[in-house]
Amino acid sequence: MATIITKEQQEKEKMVTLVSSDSEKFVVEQKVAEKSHVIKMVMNCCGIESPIPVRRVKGDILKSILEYCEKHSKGEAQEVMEKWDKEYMDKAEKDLVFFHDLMLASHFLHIQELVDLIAVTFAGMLKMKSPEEIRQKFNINNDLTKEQEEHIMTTFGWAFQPI
Amino acid sequence: MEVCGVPPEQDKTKGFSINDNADLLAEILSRLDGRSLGVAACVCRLWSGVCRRDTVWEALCTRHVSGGAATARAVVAALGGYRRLYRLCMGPVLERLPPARRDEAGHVSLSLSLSLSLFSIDCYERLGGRQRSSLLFLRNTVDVS
Repeated sequence: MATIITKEQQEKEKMVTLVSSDSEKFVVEQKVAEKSHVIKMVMNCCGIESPIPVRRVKGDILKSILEYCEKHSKGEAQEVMEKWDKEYMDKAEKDLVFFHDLMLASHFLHIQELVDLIAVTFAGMLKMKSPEEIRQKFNINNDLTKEQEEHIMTTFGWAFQPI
Repeated sequence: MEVCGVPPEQDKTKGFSINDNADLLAEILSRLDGRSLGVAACVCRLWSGVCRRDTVWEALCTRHVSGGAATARAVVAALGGYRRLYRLCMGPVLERLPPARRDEAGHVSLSLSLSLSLFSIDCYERLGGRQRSSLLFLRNTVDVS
């Protein structure tokens, strides 16, 4: 009997509770949370007994990030992961606000693999677009003066010439 | 009066600005190809600044090499930076490859070694003020028929 309790306790000890900025609680395995370098550091110095607040990340974002971390802590075959990553990105990039928050949060939590994945997907949205199309898509004001634009064209004008 | 709902198009980018964090913007722009990077420089002041960072061009150049990129940094920096390296040597070589092969590191690493050699020779030649004799013509396709 005593051994069973110890085992259960050991199982329990491997779980950690993360709390989002809007007080949503997520109970995940320690190895899943470790995917974030920042959370790993916190767990190393403060232990996993008490819940860890992730104050700058909202519940829906944290949920999505933990979904990624969980999948990536399983050590599955590369092809399986690539397919999963693609589907994950396809879903996330539909809502740009969410997608940008996801990037900010993974940057804040130091999950470099996820930052890389999102940056590549973001870059994909910029390829083959004109500056005006990019400004429209991301709601950016053109704050360049005529002189600055001319100066940029002397440096980067080659990018607009046909191959 | 009741506040009407925001049209879905406007709502999409509300409260979201890709320009809030320049470092993340640099992460994104580092993944672009040379031409898209040049176009991105024309978007606004911030983008233009980020596109001038040599680390962004370094990321672009080293993506095409399988190894030894770290040791090349000092040489490239001394000879004018990665943007110059890309513009003068790597870009023209890469653009001749079919699009599908541009991102394969192995195939292009040889071209990069040649690019680096041409880059150093070009810089050396410019030291003597003999710009016209540049060997940079070697980056162009040679008609051997």
